[in-house]
Amino acid sequence: MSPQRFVTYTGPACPRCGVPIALDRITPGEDICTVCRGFFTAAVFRPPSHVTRVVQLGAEGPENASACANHPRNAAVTSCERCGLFICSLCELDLFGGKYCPACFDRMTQEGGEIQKSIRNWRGLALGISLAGLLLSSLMIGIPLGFLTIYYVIRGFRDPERSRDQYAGLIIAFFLAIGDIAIGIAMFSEFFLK
Amino acid sequence: MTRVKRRYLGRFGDLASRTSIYERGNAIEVDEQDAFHIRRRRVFYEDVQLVTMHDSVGLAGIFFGFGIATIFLLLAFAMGRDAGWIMAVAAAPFLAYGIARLTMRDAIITVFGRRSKARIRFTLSPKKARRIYDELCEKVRAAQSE
Repeated sequence: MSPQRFVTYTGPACPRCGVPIALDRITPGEDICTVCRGFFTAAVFRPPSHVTRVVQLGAEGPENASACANHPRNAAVTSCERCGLFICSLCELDLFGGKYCPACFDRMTQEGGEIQKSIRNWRGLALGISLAGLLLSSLMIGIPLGFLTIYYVIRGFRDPERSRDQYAGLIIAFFLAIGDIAIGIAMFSEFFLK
Repeated sequence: MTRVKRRYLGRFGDLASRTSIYERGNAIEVDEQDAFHIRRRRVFYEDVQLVTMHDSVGLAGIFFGFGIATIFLLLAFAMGRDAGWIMAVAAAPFLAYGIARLTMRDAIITVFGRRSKARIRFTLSPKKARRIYDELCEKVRAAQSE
Protein backbone atom coordinates (compact mmCIF):
# COMPACT_ATOMS: atom_id res chain seq x y z
CA MET A 1 0.00 0.00 0.00
CA SER A 2 1.49 3.35 -0.94
CA PRO A 3 1.30 5.55 2.15
CA GLN A 4 1.01 8.83 0.21
CA ARG A 5 -2.37 7.93 -1.28
CA PHE A 6 -4.20 7.72 2.00
CA VAL A 7 -2.44 10.35 4.10
CA THR A 8 -4.90 13.17 3.46
CA TYR A 9 -6.03 13.88 6.98
CA THR A 10 -3.45 14.47 9.66
CA GLY A 11 -5.69 15.34 12.61
CA PRO A 12 -6.66 18.60 14.31
CA ALA A 13 -5.33 21.69 12.57
CA CYS A 14 -5.86 25.43 12.42
CA PRO A 15 -9.24 25.87 10.68
CA ARG A 16 -7.89 28.91 8.81
CA CYS A 17 -4.44 27.91 7.54
CA GLY A 18 -4.55 24.13 8.00
CA VAL A 19 -1.30 23.88 9.97
CA PRO A 20 -1.51 20.90 12.40
CA ILE A 21 -1.95 21.88 16.04
CA ALA A 22 -1.43 19.71 19.12
CA LEU A 23 -4.65 19.46 21.13
CA ASP A 24 -2.78 20.40 24.32
CA ARG A 25 -1.86 23.77 22.83
CA ILE A 26 -5.45 24.77 22.07
CA THR A 27 -7.23 26.96 24.59
CA PRO A 28 -10.95 26.14 24.83
CA GLY A 29 -13.01 29.19 23.91
CA GLU A 30 -11.27 31.90 21.87
CA ASP A 31 -7.86 30.91 20.51
CA ILE A 32 -5.36 32.30 18.04
CA CYS A 33 -3.23 30.37 15.55
CA THR A 34 0.48 30.94 16.14
CA VAL A 35 1.20 30.64 12.41
CA CYS A 36 -1.50 32.69 10.65
CA ARG A 37 -2.52 34.79 13.69
CA GLY A 38 -6.18 34.07 12.89
CA PHE A 39 -8.81 33.86 15.63
CA PHE A 40 -11.16 30.92 16.08
CA THR A 41 -13.50 29.50 18.71
CA ALA A 42 -12.54 26.02 19.84
CA ALA A 43 -13.96 23.20 21.94
CA VAL A 44 -11.46 20.43 22.73
CA PHE A 45 -12.58 16.87 23.45
CA ARG A 46 -10.76 13.79 24.69
CA PRO A 47 -12.43 10.86 22.93
CA PRO A 48 -12.27 7.64 24.92
CA SER A 49 -10.06 4.95 23.42
CA HIS A 50 -11.93 2.06 21.83
CA VAL A 51 -12.01 -1.12 23.85
CA THR A 52 -12.44 -4.30 21.82
CA ARG A 53 -13.77 -7.31 23.70
CA VAL A 54 -12.05 -10.44 22.47
CA VAL A 55 -13.67 -13.77 23.25
CA GLN A 56 -11.21 -16.61 23.81
CA LEU A 57 -12.01 -19.87 22.06
CA GLY A 58 -11.64 -21.81 25.32
CA ALA A 59 -14.29 -19.67 27.02
CA GLU A 60 -16.89 -20.39 24.33
CA GLY A 61 -16.26 -24.11 24.03
CA PRO A 62 -15.38 -25.97 20.81
CA GLU A 63 -19.00 -26.66 19.78
CA ASN A 64 -20.16 -23.04 20.11
CA ALA A 65 -17.40 -21.16 18.31
CA SER A 66 -15.02 -21.29 15.36
CA ALA A 67 -11.46 -20.07 15.58
CA CYS A 68 -10.34 -16.80 13.99
CA ALA A 69 -8.15 -17.41 10.93
CA ASN A 70 -5.55 -14.91 12.12
CA HIS A 71 -5.73 -15.56 15.88
CA PRO A 72 -6.36 -19.31 16.46
CA ARG A 73 -6.98 -18.80 20.19
CA ASN A 74 -9.72 -16.21 19.62
CA ALA A 75 -13.33 -17.07 18.79
CA ALA A 76 -14.59 -15.78 15.43
CA VAL A 77 -17.42 -13.27 15.68
CA THR A 78 -18.16 -12.88 11.97
CA SER A 79 -16.84 -13.74 8.52
CA CYS A 80 -15.29 -11.40 5.95
CA GLU A 81 -17.83 -10.33 3.32
CA ARG A 82 -15.20 -10.46 0.58
CA CYS A 83 -13.30 -13.69 1.23
CA GLY A 84 -15.48 -15.44 3.81
CA LEU A 85 -12.65 -15.87 6.31
CA PHE A 86 -13.70 -16.30 9.96
CA ILE A 87 -12.46 -13.28 11.93
CA CYS A 88 -12.43 -12.27 15.59
CA SER A 89 -13.34 -8.84 16.95
CA LEU A 90 -9.67 -7.79 16.75
CA CYS A 91 -9.58 -8.38 12.99
CA GLU A 92 -13.09 -7.16 12.19
CA LEU A 93 -13.15 -3.96 10.13
CA ASP A 94 -16.61 -2.44 9.87
CA LEU A 95 -16.94 -0.34 6.72
CA PHE A 96 -20.37 1.09 5.93
CA GLY A 97 -22.17 -1.95 7.23
CA GLY A 98 -19.79 -4.46 5.63
CA LYS A 99 -17.40 -6.62 7.68
CA TYR A 100 -13.95 -7.16 6.20
CA CYS A 101 -10.75 -8.86 7.30
CA PRO A 102 -7.50 -6.79 7.38
CA ALA A 103 -6.09 -8.61 4.32
CA CYS A 104 -9.14 -7.78 2.19
CA PHE A 105 -9.06 -4.18 3.40
CA ASP A 106 -5.41 -3.94 2.29
CA ARG A 107 -6.21 -5.61 -1.04
CA MET A 108 -9.11 -3.25 -1.70
CA THR A 109 -7.01 -0.18 -0.97
CA GLN A 110 -4.14 -1.50 -3.13
CA GLU A 111 -6.47 -2.22 -6.03
CA GLY A 112 -7.92 1.27 -5.74
CA GLY A 113 -11.29 -0.13 -4.72
CA GLU A 114 -13.91 2.00 -3.07
CA ILE A 115 -13.39 2.03 0.65
CA GLN A 116 -15.75 4.94 1.01
CA LYS A 117 -19.40 4.45 0.16
CA SER A 118 -20.25 5.85 -3.25
CA ILE A 119 -23.87 6.43 -4.21
CA ARG A 120 -25.62 7.84 -7.25
CA ASN A 121 -26.41 11.58 -7.23
CA TRP A 122 -29.93 11.42 -8.69
CA ARG A 123 -30.59 15.14 -8.25
CA GLY A 124 -27.40 16.07 -10.11
CA LEU A 125 -28.19 13.58 -12.88
CA ALA A 126 -31.78 14.80 -13.23
CA LEU A 127 -30.76 18.47 -13.36
CA GLY A 128 -27.90 17.81 -15.76
CA ILE A 129 -29.96 15.74 -18.20
CA SER A 130 -32.93 18.14 -18.07
CA LEU A 131 -30.69 21.12 -18.85
CA ALA A 132 -29.04 19.18 -21.69
CA GLY A 133 -32.56 18.42 -22.95
CA LEU A 134 -33.42 22.12 -22.97
CA LEU A 135 -30.22 23.01 -24.82
CA LEU A 136 -30.77 20.25 -27.40
CA SER A 137 -34.54 20.57 -27.65
CA SER A 138 -34.28 22.17 -31.10
CA LEU A 139 -32.85 18.84 -32.30
CA MET A 140 -35.89 17.06 -30.77
CA ILE A 141 -33.64 15.26 -28.30
CA GLY A 142 -35.63 16.95 -25.55
CA ILE A 143 -38.31 14.21 -25.62
CA PRO A 144 -36.09 11.23 -24.69
CA LEU A 145 -33.98 13.34 -22.33
CA GLY A 146 -37.17 14.63 -20.66
CA PHE A 147 -38.40 11.08 -20.02
CA LEU A 148 -34.92 10.11 -18.81
CA THR A 149 -35.03 13.06 -16.38
CA ILE A 150 -38.43 11.94 -15.08
CA TYR A 151 -36.96 8.47 -14.50
CA TYR A 152 -34.06 10.00 -12.53
CA VAL A 153 -36.51 12.20 -10.55
CA ILE A 154 -38.54 9.10 -9.60
CA ARG A 155 -35.35 7.27 -8.59
CA GLY A 156 -34.32 10.32 -6.56
CA PHE A 157 -37.63 10.39 -4.66
CA ARG A 158 -37.53 6.62 -4.10
CA ASP A 159 -33.90 6.63 -2.95
CA PRO A 160 -33.78 5.54 0.71
CA GLU A 161 -30.79 7.87 1.18
CA ARG A 162 -32.71 10.94 -0.01
CA SER A 163 -32.94 14.02 2.17
CA ARG A 164 -35.17 17.08 2.17
CA ASP A 165 -32.57 19.45 0.76
CA GLN A 166 -32.64 17.46 -2.49
CA TYR A 167 -36.38 17.80 -3.07
CA ALA A 168 -36.16 21.34 -4.55
CA GLY A 169 -33.60 20.22 -7.15
CA LEU A 170 -35.67 17.16 -8.08
CA ILE A 171 -38.86 19.23 -8.45
CA ILE A 172 -37.05 21.81 -10.63
CA ALA A 173 -35.66 18.96 -12.75
CA PHE A 174 -39.18 17.52 -13.13
CA PHE A 175 -40.58 20.81 -14.44
CA LEU A 176 -37.57 21.25 -16.74
CA ALA A 177 -38.28 17.74 -18.05
CA ILE A 178 -41.90 18.71 -18.78
CA GLY A 179 -40.48 21.73 -20.64
CA ASP A 180 -38.06 19.47 -22.56
CA ILE A 181 -40.90 17.18 -23.66
CA ALA A 182 -43.24 20.07 -24.53
CA ILE A 183 -40.60 21.84 -26.64
CA GLY A 184 -39.65 18.53 -28.23
CA ILE A 185 -43.27 17.78 -29.20
CA ALA A 186 -43.70 21.32 -30.53
CA MET A 187 -40.54 20.96 -32.66
CA PHE A 188 -41.68 17.52 -33.84
CA SER A 189 -45.10 18.83 -34.93
CA GLU A 190 -43.48 21.86 -36.56
CA PHE A 191 -41.20 19.76 -38.76
CA PHE A 192 -43.14 16.58 -39.49
CA LEU A 193 -46.85 17.26 -39.13
CA LYS A 194 -47.09 20.42 -41.22
CA MET B 1 -33.00 -2.80 10.24
CA THR B 2 -34.44 0.62 11.06
CA ARG B 3 -32.94 3.49 9.12
CA VAL B 4 -32.00 6.53 11.20
CA LYS B 5 -33.28 9.74 9.58
CA ARG B 6 -30.66 12.31 8.81
CA ARG B 7 -30.89 16.04 9.30
CA TYR B 8 -29.38 18.54 6.90
CA LEU B 9 -26.87 20.82 8.62
CA GLY B 10 -25.31 22.78 5.79
CA ARG B 11 -22.90 22.86 2.89
CA PHE B 12 -19.28 23.57 2.19
CA GLY B 13 -18.09 24.31 -1.27
CA ASP B 14 -15.05 25.74 -2.97
CA LEU B 15 -13.79 25.81 -6.54
CA ALA B 16 -12.68 22.17 -6.39
CA SER B 17 -15.28 20.39 -4.30
CA ARG B 18 -18.82 20.53 -2.98
CA THR B 19 -19.98 18.78 0.16
CA SER B 20 -23.29 18.50 1.99
CA ILE B 21 -23.21 17.85 5.72
CA TYR B 22 -25.89 15.91 7.61
CA GLU B 23 -26.41 14.69 11.12
CA ARG B 24 -27.32 11.03 11.41
CA GLY B 25 -27.72 9.35 14.78
CA ASN B 26 -24.33 9.31 16.46
CA ALA B 27 -22.34 10.80 13.58
CA ILE B 28 -21.95 13.66 11.14
CA GLU B 29 -22.31 12.45 7.57
CA VAL B 30 -20.31 14.13 4.81
CA ASP B 31 -21.54 13.72 1.22
CA GLU B 32 -18.81 14.74 -1.23
CA GLN B 33 -20.34 15.38 -4.64
CA ASP B 34 -18.16 14.07 -7.41
CA ALA B 35 -19.96 14.74 -10.73
CA PHE B 36 -22.89 12.31 -10.64
CA HIS B 37 -21.65 10.29 -7.68
CA ILE B 38 -21.68 11.04 -3.98
CA ARG B 39 -18.87 9.76 -1.75
CA ARG B 40 -20.04 9.36 1.80
CA ARG B 41 -17.98 9.36 4.97
CA ARG B 42 -18.79 9.84 8.64
CA VAL B 43 -17.28 11.60 11.60
CA PHE B 44 -18.54 9.82 14.70
CA TYR B 45 -19.27 11.94 17.77
CA GLU B 46 -17.28 9.54 19.93
CA ASP B 47 -14.22 10.18 17.71
CA VAL B 48 -14.37 13.98 17.70
CA GLN B 49 -11.25 15.68 19.05
CA LEU B 50 -11.86 19.32 18.20
CA VAL B 51 -14.75 21.53 17.07
CA THR B 52 -13.91 25.03 15.86
CA MET B 53 -15.79 28.01 14.50
CA HIS B 54 -14.26 30.94 12.68
CA ASP B 55 -15.38 33.61 10.25
CA SER B 56 -14.25 34.03 6.68
CA VAL B 57 -14.84 36.38 3.77
CA GLY B 58 -16.94 34.68 1.08
CA LEU B 59 -15.10 36.02 -1.95
CA ALA B 60 -17.08 33.97 -4.47
CA GLY B 61 -20.38 35.40 -3.18
CA ILE B 62 -19.04 38.96 -3.21
CA PHE B 63 -17.74 38.61 -6.77
CA PHE B 64 -21.01 37.00 -7.85
CA GLY B 65 -23.18 39.75 -6.32
CA PHE B 66 -21.14 42.70 -7.53
CA GLY B 67 -20.36 41.03 -10.87
CA ILE B 68 -24.00 40.47 -11.84
CA ALA B 69 -24.96 43.93 -10.50
CA THR B 70 -22.20 45.51 -12.62
CA ILE B 71 -23.45 43.74 -15.77
CA PHE B 72 -27.02 44.93 -15.15
CA LEU B 73 -25.85 48.50 -14.38
CA LEU B 74 -23.74 48.62 -17.55
CA LEU B 75 -26.77 47.44 -19.54
CA ALA B 76 -28.85 50.12 -17.78
CA PHE B 77 -26.41 52.84 -18.88
CA ALA B 78 -26.29 51.43 -22.40
CA MET B 79 -30.09 51.33 -22.71
CA GLY B 80 -30.49 54.92 -21.62
CA ARG B 81 -33.24 56.56 -19.62
CA ASP B 82 -36.28 54.88 -21.23
CA ALA B 83 -35.62 51.21 -20.46
CA GLY B 84 -32.49 51.51 -18.35
CA TRP B 85 -34.37 51.74 -15.07
CA ILE B 86 -35.62 48.15 -15.50
CA MET B 87 -32.02 46.94 -15.61
CA ALA B 88 -31.15 49.18 -12.64
CA VAL B 89 -34.00 47.62 -10.63
CA ALA B 90 -32.78 44.14 -11.66
CA ALA B 91 -29.28 45.07 -10.43
CA ALA B 92 -30.53 46.16 -6.99
CA PRO B 93 -30.97 42.70 -5.36
CA PHE B 94 -27.54 41.53 -6.59
CA LEU B 95 -25.97 44.75 -5.30
CA ALA B 96 -27.69 44.26 -1.93
CA TYR B 97 -26.48 40.64 -1.84
CA GLY B 98 -22.90 41.70 -2.61
CA ILE B 99 -22.99 44.36 0.14
CA ALA B 100 -24.52 41.87 2.61
CA ARG B 101 -21.79 39.30 1.83
CA LEU B 102 -19.14 42.00 2.23
CA THR B 103 -20.41 43.19 5.62
CA MET B 104 -21.51 39.85 7.12
CA ARG B 105 -18.71 37.35 7.08
CA ASP B 106 -19.38 33.62 6.62
CA ALA B 107 -19.17 31.42 9.70
CA ILE B 108 -17.36 28.11 9.23
CA ILE B 109 -17.65 25.19 11.64
CA THR B 110 -14.96 22.50 11.44
CA VAL B 111 -15.29 19.18 13.23
CA PHE B 112 -12.01 17.27 13.53
CA GLY B 113 -12.38 13.56 14.21
CA ARG B 114 -9.74 10.87 14.69
CA ARG B 115 -9.77 9.85 11.04
CA SER B 116 -11.59 12.58 9.12
CA LYS B 117 -13.09 16.03 9.41
CA ALA B 118 -16.29 17.81 8.42
CA ARG B 119 -16.69 21.45 7.50
CA ILE B 120 -19.87 23.55 7.22
CA ARG B 121 -20.16 27.08 5.86
CA PHE B 122 -23.00 29.34 7.01
CA THR B 123 -23.70 32.28 4.75
CA LEU B 124 -25.59 35.30 6.16
CA SER B 125 -26.69 33.28 9.21
CA PRO B 126 -24.22 33.70 12.10
CA LYS B 127 -26.90 32.91 14.72
CA LYS B 128 -27.67 29.58 13.11
CA ALA B 129 -23.94 28.80 12.98
CA ARG B 130 -23.61 29.51 16.71
CA ARG B 131 -26.66 27.34 17.46
CA ILE B 132 -25.34 24.41 15.40
CA TYR B 133 -21.86 24.80 16.97
CA ASP B 134 -23.32 24.64 20.50
CA GLU B 135 -25.56 21.73 19.51
CA LEU B 136 -22.64 19.74 18.03
CA CYS B 137 -20.45 20.38 21.09
CA GLU B 138 -23.28 19.22 23.34
CA LYS B 139 -23.82 16.03 21.33
CA VAL B 140 -20.10 15.22 21.25
CA ARG B 141 -19.90 15.76 25.01
CA ALA B 142 -22.90 13.47 25.56
CA ALA B 143 -21.53 10.75 23.24
CA GLN B 144 -18.09 10.76 24.85
CA SER B 145 -19.41 10.70 28.41
CA GLU B 146 -21.44 7.51 27.79
